[in-house]
Amino acid sequence: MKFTDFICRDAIHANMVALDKEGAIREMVQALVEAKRVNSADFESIVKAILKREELGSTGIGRGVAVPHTKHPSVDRLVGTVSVSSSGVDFASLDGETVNLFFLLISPPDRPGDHLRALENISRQLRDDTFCHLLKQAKLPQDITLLLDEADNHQFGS
Amino acid sequence: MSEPALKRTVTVANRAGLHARAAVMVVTEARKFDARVVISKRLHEVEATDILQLMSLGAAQGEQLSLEGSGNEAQAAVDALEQLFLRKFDED
Repeated sequence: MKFTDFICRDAIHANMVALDKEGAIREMVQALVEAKRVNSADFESIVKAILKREELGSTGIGRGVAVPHTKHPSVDRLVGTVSVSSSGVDFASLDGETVNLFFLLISPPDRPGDHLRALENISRQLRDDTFCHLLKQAKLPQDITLLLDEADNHQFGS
Repeated sequence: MSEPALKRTVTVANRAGLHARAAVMVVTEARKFDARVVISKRLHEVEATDILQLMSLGAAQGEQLSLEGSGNEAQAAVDALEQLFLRKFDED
């Protein structure tokens, strides 16, 4: 699976304003609403589901990265977005570090395989330090899109 | 001469596969032991203590993984990780 298969370009943000977990999640889901990938009527329900998943254990996986996610019946295919925070967000990460790079995923309840393949893709690409570093430094959504495209085209390791 | 590594095969039995929370459970368990455990899916080998590497396996339900332990507590570490897979990560 490639980034282009599940990342909604119009919802990519390079200047996250939120400084806490709930704010960050709200901002990213709102971006998906504005990109018309999620209905505004489902906004609160999706935010709540993602927060509930965080209660089971933070999706802040370390190295300044978090992958907040949920299953939700309102989507019929995997939908995701990327956000970068220059100041960092307290996400109760495994390594205690703040998070600068977010991949948010919403998947249909009956498609665990797609979610797994998206996680596989994200984690494989992030193993490349250059890719990870450049994404965190991105100042514009276009920078992020370009980096994701380059990763899809195997410009980075593995 | 060092002891030969301890090897075991496990099957991913939970429906969601080795997703984020399951990977966190593996990392948390693996870090409890004085041992190194390498988990592999075919030729793709990763460290059991590295969540990003674990998720990069994309191990789905029904797939087989190999656990290979070495070090002082290799046996206990491999046993504990095998249990997580057998327990389906307390899911399903």
